[in-house]
Amino acid sequence: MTLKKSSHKAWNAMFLQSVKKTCFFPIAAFICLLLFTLSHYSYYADIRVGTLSPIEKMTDFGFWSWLCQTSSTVSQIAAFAFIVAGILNAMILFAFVTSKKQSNVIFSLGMTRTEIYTSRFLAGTLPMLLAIALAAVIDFLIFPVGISGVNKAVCLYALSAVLYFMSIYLLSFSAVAVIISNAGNLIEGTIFTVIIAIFPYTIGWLLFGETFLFLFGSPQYDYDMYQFDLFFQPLLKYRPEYYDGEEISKFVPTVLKDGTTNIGFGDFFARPLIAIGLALFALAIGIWAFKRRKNEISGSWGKAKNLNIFCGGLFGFYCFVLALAVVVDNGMYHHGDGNFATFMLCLICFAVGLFIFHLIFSSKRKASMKFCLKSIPVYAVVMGAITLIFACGGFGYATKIPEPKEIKEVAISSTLWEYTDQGRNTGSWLGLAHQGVSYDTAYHISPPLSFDTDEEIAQVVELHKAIVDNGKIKNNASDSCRDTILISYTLKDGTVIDRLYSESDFELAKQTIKFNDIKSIKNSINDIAMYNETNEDDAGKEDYAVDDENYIIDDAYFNPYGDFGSKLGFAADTTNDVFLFPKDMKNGYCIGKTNAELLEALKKDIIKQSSDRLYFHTPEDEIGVISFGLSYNGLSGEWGYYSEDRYDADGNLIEESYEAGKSYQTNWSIDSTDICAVVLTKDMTNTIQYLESKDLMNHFESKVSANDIDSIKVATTKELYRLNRSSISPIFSAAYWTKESVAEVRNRPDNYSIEKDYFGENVNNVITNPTVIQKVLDQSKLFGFCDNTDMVVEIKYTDGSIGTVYISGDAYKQIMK
Amino acid sequence: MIEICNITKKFDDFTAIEDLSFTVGDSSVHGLVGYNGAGKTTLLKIIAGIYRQDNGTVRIDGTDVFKNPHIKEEMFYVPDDLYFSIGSNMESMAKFYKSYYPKFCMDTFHNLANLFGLDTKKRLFGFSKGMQRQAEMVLALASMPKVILLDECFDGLDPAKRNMTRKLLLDYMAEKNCSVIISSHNLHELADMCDHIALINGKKIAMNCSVDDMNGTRCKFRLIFADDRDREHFNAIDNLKNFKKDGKIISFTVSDKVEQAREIIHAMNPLLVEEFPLTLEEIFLDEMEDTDYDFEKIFS
Repeated sequence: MTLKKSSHKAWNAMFLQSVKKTCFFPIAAFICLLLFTLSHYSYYADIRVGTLSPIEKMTDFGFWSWLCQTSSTVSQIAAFAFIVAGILNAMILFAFVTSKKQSNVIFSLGMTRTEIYTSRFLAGTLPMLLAIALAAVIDFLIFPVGISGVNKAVCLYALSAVLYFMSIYLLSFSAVAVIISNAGNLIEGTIFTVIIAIFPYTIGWLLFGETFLFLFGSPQYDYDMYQFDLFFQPLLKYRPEYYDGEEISKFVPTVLKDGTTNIGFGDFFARPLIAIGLALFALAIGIWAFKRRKNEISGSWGKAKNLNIFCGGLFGFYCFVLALAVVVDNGMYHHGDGNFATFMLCLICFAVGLFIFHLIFSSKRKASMKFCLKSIPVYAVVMGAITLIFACGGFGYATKIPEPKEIKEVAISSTLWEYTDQGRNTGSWLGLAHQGVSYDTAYHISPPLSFDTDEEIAQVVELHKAIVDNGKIKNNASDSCRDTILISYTLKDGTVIDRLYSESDFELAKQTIKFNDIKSIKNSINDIAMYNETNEDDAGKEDYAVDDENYIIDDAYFNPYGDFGSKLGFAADTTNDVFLFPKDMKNGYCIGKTNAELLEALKKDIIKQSSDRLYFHTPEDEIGVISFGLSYNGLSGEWGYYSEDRYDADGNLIEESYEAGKSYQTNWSIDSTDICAVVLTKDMTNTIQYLESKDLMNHFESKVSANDIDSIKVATTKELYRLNRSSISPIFSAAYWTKESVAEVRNRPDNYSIEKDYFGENVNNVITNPTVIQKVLDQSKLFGFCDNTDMVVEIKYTDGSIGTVYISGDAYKQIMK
Repeated sequence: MIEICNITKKFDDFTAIEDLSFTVGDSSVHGLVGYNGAGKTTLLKIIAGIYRQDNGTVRIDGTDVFKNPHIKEEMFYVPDDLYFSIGSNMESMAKFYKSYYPKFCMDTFHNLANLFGLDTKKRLFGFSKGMQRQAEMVLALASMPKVILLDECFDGLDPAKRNMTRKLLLDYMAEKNCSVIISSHNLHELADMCDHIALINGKKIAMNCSVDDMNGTRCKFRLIFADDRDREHFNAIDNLKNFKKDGKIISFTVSDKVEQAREIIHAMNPLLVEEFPLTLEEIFLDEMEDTDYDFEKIFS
């Protein structure tokens, strides 16, 4: 027998012995997958006669589709099981190198190291891949061939499903194999495996942290990036198109289009192929390192020099990223603020991590510490270079604005356009509702406004240029304010570029609100003549019935909110009554149910109302508030009010229903810009004309005088909230609460901290002089743009109710002179 | 033939063996001696291709072992600390080695196992240390290697089995024309069966010669003179070591230049001259210059 022949025999022997050693894993996987298939057989049979296309049946019901949908629990468990199987299998097959005794035997055999590594690698992978493939073939024969039908889409989907499981197993096995085969002992190998496995997650955090700190404007982020989804999910989330405008899918076109279902390369094949690529890379690294392995480290601690250096660097890097994440998460610094301090802090954490690692994983601590000291400058330079690249926008063009001629469509959204929603959810109830105080970052901003005409695209581009020209806005700057702007360009070649700017200043905010004047927005107001069914879930396109000017008002509510900006949008719950409130908002007059004539008049007025008039009108312009149903009662969690009287068990009246033609002091809080309310201004001539024709304008006359007011408190928003201006929206809307509402709000549990009494806690500027109070009230507004110089006014009525309005800083100064 | 040429092996900054060279011919049993940590096991592992030397080459019949590991199909390494997989018995280990050693002979395996009285179906973990070592020897010999590397292979063997093992090895060597390297601290054993001895001291080969040469070139003298003689009187003798004086009796060893020493001693007219060949143990101690110690000083 020649040496070559006998070496083949030796390879085969080691392969077979290894397969025998770990055959449990593929057998178990095969049985589990087969059971999964069989347990779904009856389910498959049920859809045999369905009307779905084969691919829809497949993606909805078949071929381990539940397993392959990464969001499902079954899928997460299955993926986790395959990863664990890969890890354990690799540990079993390569653990021999961590034992001196076993090394003596294996390495003294007549095999090259490459042969030893490959025989064990293939013994650990081939049977498992075979088991998955076999289970897949059986499932394929039962389901697609036997039940749903086979076409190209089905085959590709099946292939992607099989590759998915194969790839995650392959990747975890090969990664652990390369680590264990180069470690000194199993414990070390396991720890190093964990250290290397979490690398992609930390990359995600680095991207997030550094982008947040150093970039002005960032790609739109998704929190999924940091959730468990295999080793490589975060890498997939790093999509270059968000940064440099190059779209992967442009180069990797959609593989298949079958009816309504697109099977895109990115969605189905990118993940397994990335994993397989990484696994092959790990195999190559494993063979290379195994050939150079020093067997004297077997069974030792801290002697796997190269692995120690690599994992030590990674551990230091994790400490760097952890410090960065803590800084970002705690909002210690923001864009352009404290960058150097943050970097130095992170670097110190890097060094500490490095020292700790080498203290633990070192056989010669003194030498190791010396090495650390020497290597820290190198790491500092590397991290500095990465940070510098970030800071310079090297990982993406934060300031890149596509040329208008390249743009097919642009969507823009701003938190300013949904302030009412934000205010209702997160704003203060007492004293300052709808001031838009918010700590959350609005990643999901709606409603986006989409434009596709050259003129409008140019307007968006101009706004974007203004944002970029403004540079970084510091959150502690006096003119900063709360406004998250998302601009999403769809270029003519299909590329999508998203830009998110989470801070703004008053100038930008003024430019942003001018979008209300864009022609298509005005046109879209015509489209608001649509009614949603009360049950939104059941509302289809056909439910938004529009019959010329005849509104369908039965059991529906007017909800233009999803179509355009908030102030322009007003809602009318047609099951409720319409109320007219004077500027003091104390007493509302019920005029009956919502009617088309009033809505049409309002629509015409809103269309013609410019953003200037909307946000910068004078106090004298404001007439009162038209409310289409009372606002959300946050105390009881119920909407609106009761249209019938309510009695308790003993027959006592506890709640009187509202009736047209009567005046009420509402028991509920209302506000001037609720989703169901509109501030009536003098330029809204159509509405005024309608109300005059019905002889209703007299209900806007206030019966409140300074004598009805106990005191007022006046403060700027900054004094009031003791917050950075960047946390406060520049749009103000007034509010009013009855005594009962105030009592209820104040009796709430402490966890409603955002609804605390800001005036009570932070403001001492109390005015009780009736003359001054009257002057302040005369100059106050219900709604509009409120900057740093403007003052918020809390009105305490003698009856215990509270109202809030705002007054321009100049007017207030004039009065106080 | 095994050629060990200029082998150097470092463990980080510690040099275990340095520029070490010697040759083991066919049909030769080469003993490897040296104090603990001298590098004997390291050298054997380098020869077996387990460790990679930093410098030098190990060749078997002219083939570099590390670069051509397939040559190890004709080499069997019996380590000091034996390894048998969990639950294995001699039969399963025989099957294991049969896969890697093309010349493995099952008949020889069974014959040898019978000779040692070992149950091939009994789990090896149930064997005593000595029995495990016998089992490993059986497996090694059944593999029919051309090169056998034995590290402390007689440890734990009873005298009868030790004798049998020694005899088997020598017979196998004579029959198969193979080369054997044995590392051991049992110097009597080595002296009995080795034709060559290599002594490692100070990371290098301190002595490498045939056992016959060793006996001819080293001698221990015991002398009595009429008058009082000190160390200075023997300065003319080269390679004099281990000079001791006990009253009138003077003893020392001489290596290499025994004839010259003999002439000088006779010229000094001693009352009594006695010459003894050195045992391997004495040679070992001689080479290591094992220093005496003052008991009182250490334990005072």
